[in-house]
Formats: sequence, C-alpha cells, structure tokens
Amino acid sequence: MSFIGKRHGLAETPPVAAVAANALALQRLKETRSMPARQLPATRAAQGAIRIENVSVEFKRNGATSIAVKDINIEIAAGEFTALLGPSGCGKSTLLNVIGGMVRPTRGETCIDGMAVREPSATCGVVFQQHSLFPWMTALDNVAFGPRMLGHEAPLAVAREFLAMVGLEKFARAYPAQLSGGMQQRVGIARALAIRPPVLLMDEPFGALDAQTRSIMQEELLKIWSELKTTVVFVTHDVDEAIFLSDRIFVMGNAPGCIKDDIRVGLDRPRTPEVVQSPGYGSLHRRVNRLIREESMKVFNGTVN
Amino acid sequence: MDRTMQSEYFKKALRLPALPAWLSGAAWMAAGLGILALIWTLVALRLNNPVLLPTPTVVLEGFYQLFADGLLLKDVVASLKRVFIGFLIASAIGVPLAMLLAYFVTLRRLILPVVNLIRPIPPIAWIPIAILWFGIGDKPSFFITAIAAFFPIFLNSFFGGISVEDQHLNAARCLGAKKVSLVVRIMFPSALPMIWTGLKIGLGQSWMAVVTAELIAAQSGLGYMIQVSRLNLETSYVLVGMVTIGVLGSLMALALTSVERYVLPWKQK
Repeated sequence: MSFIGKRHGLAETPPVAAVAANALALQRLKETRSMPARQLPATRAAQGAIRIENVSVEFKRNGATSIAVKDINIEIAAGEFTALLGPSGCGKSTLLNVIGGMVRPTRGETCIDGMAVREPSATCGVVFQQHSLFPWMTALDNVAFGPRMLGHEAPLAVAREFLAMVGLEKFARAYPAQLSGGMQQRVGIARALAIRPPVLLMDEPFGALDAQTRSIMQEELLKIWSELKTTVVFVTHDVDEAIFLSDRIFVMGNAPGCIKDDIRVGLDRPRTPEVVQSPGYGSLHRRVNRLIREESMKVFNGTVN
Repeated sequence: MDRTMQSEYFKKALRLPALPAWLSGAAWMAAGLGILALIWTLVALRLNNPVLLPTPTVVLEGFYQLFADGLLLKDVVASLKRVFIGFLIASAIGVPLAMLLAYFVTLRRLILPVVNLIRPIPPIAWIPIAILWFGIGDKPSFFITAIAAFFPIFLNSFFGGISVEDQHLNAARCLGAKKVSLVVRIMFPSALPMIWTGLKIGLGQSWMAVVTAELIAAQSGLGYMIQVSRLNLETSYVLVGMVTIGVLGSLMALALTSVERYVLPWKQK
C-alpha cells in the first residue's frame, strides 16, 4: 500500500502535461500488472478527478466565429459515472474532446488529478461512437496496442484478460470488419480500459446499436465499471440511457453550449432494467426530459441557429 | 487525383477470378488469345511480307531460336534486374517520403511543390541526363526505371497517408502512441491498401520504362534486342521481344495480385 502515497505525490506535481501523464500511466500499469482485476478498485480509488475551469471553445468557420461551449465549470469526483446529456449541437462531444485533449479550449483549462490536459494521452481512455478500431489489426492486437505503446512486458496477456472481460476471447483473431457493431464497441471498450486509464471518455458509444443490443451493452458497461471503478464521462442524447447509467447528469443547453443543470441520480446500484419501475425514476425522467425538450424546441423553432 | 482514380481502376481490372471460376476464366483467356492469333495470321498471310508482319508461327520459331541460343534469357534477366532494382529504389524512397509528407505538414509544404514540378516530366525525357550522368549500361536504366516507378508509388502512398482517419490517430494517442508509432503503426498500415496499389502501378510503369531506357541507353536487355533486330530487319525477333515483355509484365502484375491477401489480410472477405 505504500505506493498510494507515492502516487499522490506524483499527481500533485505541476503540469508537465502529457509526458508526465504517460509516465504515470506506465507506472500504474507496471504496478497493477500482476494483480487480479478484483483487487484493483482499492488501489486506485483516488484517481481520475476532473476539474473543468471556465472552459470556452470557439471554432472559426469561413471567417465567422461560432461558440461551441461557453464558460463551463465542472468538477467530477474520482470514480464517478457522469453523463453529458443534451440535444444535438449543444457541444457535449466538444466538451468531451476537451477533457480528452483532442480539442484545445479557446479559454480556460481542464485538469485531471491536478495535471493540466494539453494533448491526448494515456490518462483518458476513449470509446468513440463507431469505426474507431484499427481495421488492420485483429481484435486482440487492437486491445494490446495501448499496453504495447506503454511498454508493457506482456501486452497480449493483458489484451486477452480484457477481451475476456467483455466476453470476446473467442474472437481474438477476428478483424473488426468481421465483427458486429456491438462486438466492435465491446472491443473498443476493452481497448480503452486495457491501459487502466483513470478516466474513461465515451462519446455516444452505443448510439449506432439497435435497442436490444444497446440495453445489454449498458448493463455490461455498469458491470465492468463496478469492477474497475474508473471515472466515466458518457456523452448521450438519450435520457433513459443517462439515468440508467449515471451517478450524475449534466444537462447541456444550446447556443452557446452550457451546463443547464447538474442532477444527482440517487437510484440504487447495481441497476437492472427494472429500475424504471422504482419510485424515484419517474419524476427524475420527467425533470430531465423537460429540460432537454426546452432546448430541443429552441432549435426546432429557430430561436437559435 | 487522376492517379488515384486510375489506381482504383487497376485494382478492379487486376482482380483474380474466384477459384471456382478459375477454369472458365482460363478457357475465356485461351479463346481471346486464339482470336488474336487468328486475326494476326490472316493479316500476315494477306500482307505476305515477313518484314512488315511475320506470322505467329515464324515468331514462335524465332522465339525458339533465341531461347535455345540463350540470348533471350540473358536479355530477360538483364531487363528484370533493371526493373527490380529501379523499383526497389523507388519504393525505398517513395513510401517513407510519402509517409513523412503526409504526417508533417511543414515538410509537405516544402517538398510537395517540387514533386509536382518534376512529376510531368516523362521518364524518356530523363534519358539524355541519365546517359550524361551514368554512361551506358545498367546505371542509367536503374535511374530511369526508378523515376518511372517513383511517382505512382509516392502519390498513392501520399494520398493513402493523408486519408488516415483522425479518429484512428486520436485513438492511438489516447493509448499512449507518440509520433513515430503514429506514423509507423497507424498511418502506414492505414495507407497500405493505397501503397499496395501504387506498388502495382509502379512496377508496371517501371517495366515499360526499362524498354525505353534500353532502346537508347543500354547494350543488353529486351529493349536493346528489339532495337537491334529492327535495324537488322528481323521483325520476328522484334515481335518475340514485344510478346515476352507483354507476358512477363502480366505475370508480374498477377504475382502481386495473388500475394495481396497476405499483405492486406483485413481486406479479405
């Protein structure tokens, strides 16, 4: 247990950004290498706290400046499952990309465990909407890519472990094109988690799946999350999905993108699809739905462009 | 972008028939060749002038003579060597350069205009310079075949490189990949289908260029043999050279297409 203190020391060093973040990820990977997955939560509970300070993102298109998100301030605790919920065009994906370092904010700063995010790094695992697996690699090699990049000694062993976690060990040698959409997303989740990132960013990961598959994937995701306890930021426009999965929902509004409400979901865990019949669900759903509808109507009526 | 469209076309045109259809494919090919031989024979008999056009049987006879003499093999080996060395030089420079230019925008701005300026110069226009620089023999031919193969290889690789998905690059960065890994492990394999197409076209271009080079700048090889036979009015030998070039060229294209499934395993159905 002595390395917990050591890691705390590292996390509070001034932002040397990605290099340090990668060194941290590497060290974490080495420490956790030989441990069975079930022991992990206790050892890394304090990681993955996100702080977003006064973040604005502007895009320049044909000389005109459009504001994607404006003055966002959010703090997400380590290990929290949060949803960014909003109608299309509210900048929720942009905000996710800011956390992941894929978009640089025009103003403001994002920190993960006290370190400023400057560029994409192994601090954040990312699961994209679709087609993000490397098509030239087998499922196994896709999952092994991260451990390999971070200098892990046995990347294939790690990859097998995580493929098994999403139930796809039998498809290790298949190429992405030979897998169904749902299977591809499971490989994507395994790939993102295989480097044991403090933060998992998910950009409408189940948006392209059919309703049945989606519901199964949601349950599966919660099961995995309850084992790894990583911080999750989940972008969706589906109210039910957000409530079913999250501890906390940030409802976003349009033009410019902003946080309209910060809602705590107090529903018991572990959650099953029957959660919709629990007493708190209905009022929560109505409340969130009203907020989303207001924003969608604004766009629909052309109040905002 | 004309090259990429062209490469798409070649990709389709060069695809092997599926295995069950293999035999019927061979039959159709034999029929096509038979018709060609028939028309050729009829025209040759009508002309009745072996200097203008000898019949296929005379050409076959010439083929046998040259083959038994060992001359043909010597010329084939000389030409193949020039093609492969030039092709290897072009690949070794073209593919890495294309990857670097695709990844580093500054380098691209610097070098791409130069490449575009040199590209329209046909390989044949380089022959005088090649002779001045390298004399007569293998070296100027290596130079010419390399020039001919370089542009299709480079351009296809480059377009393959710049069409790498941002999402793949970002995913790789989030998994800890740095510059070198991004180029070698993400950009290169994602461009590989286009690179492969470029290599196929490049090999064909290089094969065409070797004949041109040998017509002028060499004293061996199939191009040289054609040129000398023309001066001697040995038209049957000229045609032997031409047919040999055609057959070897298609065999090379076929060979590349048949190993494609091992180079691009994820592209197979």
